[in-house]
Amino acid sequence: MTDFRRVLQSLMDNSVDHVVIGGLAVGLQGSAYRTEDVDIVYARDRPNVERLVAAIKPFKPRLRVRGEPEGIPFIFDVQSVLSGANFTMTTEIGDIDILATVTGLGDYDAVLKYAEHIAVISESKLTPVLSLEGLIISKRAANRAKDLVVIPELESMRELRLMEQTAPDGD
Amino acid sequence: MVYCTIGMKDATRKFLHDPPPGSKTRAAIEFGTDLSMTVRNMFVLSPAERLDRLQHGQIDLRSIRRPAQPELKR
Repeated sequence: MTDFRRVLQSLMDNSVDHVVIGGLAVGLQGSAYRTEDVDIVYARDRPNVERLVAAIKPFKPRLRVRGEPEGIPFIFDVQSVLSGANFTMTTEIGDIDILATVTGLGDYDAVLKYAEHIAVISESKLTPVLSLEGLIISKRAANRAKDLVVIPELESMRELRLMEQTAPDGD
Repeated sequence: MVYCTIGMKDATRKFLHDPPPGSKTRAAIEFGTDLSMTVRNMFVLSPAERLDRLQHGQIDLRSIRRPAQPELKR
């Protein structure tokens, strides 16, 4: 399993413009579903890609390929990232996926509109995490079995959170 | 279903224990989703605690209850 805290800490330390998406976002919102990796969407401007590379490169990323448990070596640098878009990687601290776009939502700027900034690692530096609304939209758009199965829980979570926020205090 | 409702507003607690037809929560339960851990994650744990829980495993055997095994001993 990926060392979630180290990945998030490194992204924060390097001031990477990103949003946590996928299973980790689902879990951070409160779902009971498990995840093994970290998925993020990142801003594609060159300065941010430089920061992203600085954040991830120390973990020695390799391309994750089915049938190759150790992954395939590749040069993880700014040029590689700018030449590509989505990278599924295995690293010394687990699997990390960096995506340029999210199905149903779009690129980093679009995803950021659906992000909530929450205190996961630090009370002072908040982590951008895809909201329940954004997760529901993206999972519905992805339309894979593993995405569809979590939607009822996410919709219930959104309903319960809204009720808790709007209900009067006291018994 | 048993929920940990510590700190939850009364209206939410009542809703959760008898979600009305047509609600998303009723639909999730009918879909087969066990919301007991979800509710605890959402309303009891902080985001940092949720991260720890994800890191160290979501399945708390002491919280699992099955008809043939109503309560696991600690």
